[in-house]
Amino acid sequence: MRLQRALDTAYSRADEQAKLRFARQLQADDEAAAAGIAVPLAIAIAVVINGEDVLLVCRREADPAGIIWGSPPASSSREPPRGRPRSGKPSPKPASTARSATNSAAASTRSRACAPTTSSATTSPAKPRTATRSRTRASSGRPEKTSPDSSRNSASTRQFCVPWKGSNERAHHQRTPSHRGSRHHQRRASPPDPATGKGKASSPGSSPPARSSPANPAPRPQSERPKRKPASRYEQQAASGNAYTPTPAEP
Amino acid sequence: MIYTACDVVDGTAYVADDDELAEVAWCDRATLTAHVPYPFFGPVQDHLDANVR
Repeated sequence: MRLQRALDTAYSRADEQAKLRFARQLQADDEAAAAGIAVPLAIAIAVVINGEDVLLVCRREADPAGIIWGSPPASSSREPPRGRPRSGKPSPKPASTARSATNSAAASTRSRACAPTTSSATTSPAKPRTATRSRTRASSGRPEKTSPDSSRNSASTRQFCVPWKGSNERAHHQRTPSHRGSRHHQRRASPPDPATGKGKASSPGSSPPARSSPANPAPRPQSERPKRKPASRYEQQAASGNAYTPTPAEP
Repeated sequence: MIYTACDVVDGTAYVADDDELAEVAWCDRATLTAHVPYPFFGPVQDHLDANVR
């Protein structure tokens, strides 16, 4: 209720252009919902400044070594449909809709997580690097690559950006190349197997050898294994030591 | 993903969902760097650089 009053206050203090943009946004969302069009969701992160301090929230996570501090979520909103207009039929991609619904629930949960009474500037889904503070004080981030299919891109983008509970700095953080060598990532990375150079190195005691049982018999030594008869012509020639020469195609 | 620059109007920030959040804190530059030791998204970093001391 308190947050709603703050939103009302922010709306009442907004200029006419912002109110008009807000009304158009709501109208576009309502039309899309009435037409049964899947509407991509947007996650808003609040960068709250009070004097010379910024508000951070500490999330509860089981892994204490993870990144648990970040900016609080602001709210969830729906982006207007972009790209080519679709038909009025329901979306044929239930997976995309499901992801959006999941994000919607997560976003609404996050919006309840922290409730500072703030006055927020209006935002626009502008391209990330072209957003300037002279036009709007908000920064709209979409650091992912764009694809011709904007609907699929937005769905997969959202899935990538919000795979966890909390703000999106972590997603951006994971995409930052400079972070890949940090202790957090190194700790989770597995060293390659010195024998094969691939995969996780096997450490003594980490994976005990499988016991022999009727369902899982112990492997026989290589010398006791019956040799498989070469099946193909190539295998027969290779077994006899002759080099394989392909048969010329008959005319 | 939309970043929204906000100013405090009134009230006190508090944890409304104990299951998800442990605490909230107002952080200066040093505390922010200690808590979040990685760069933010470019425009957000610019906004923080201009406003947080």
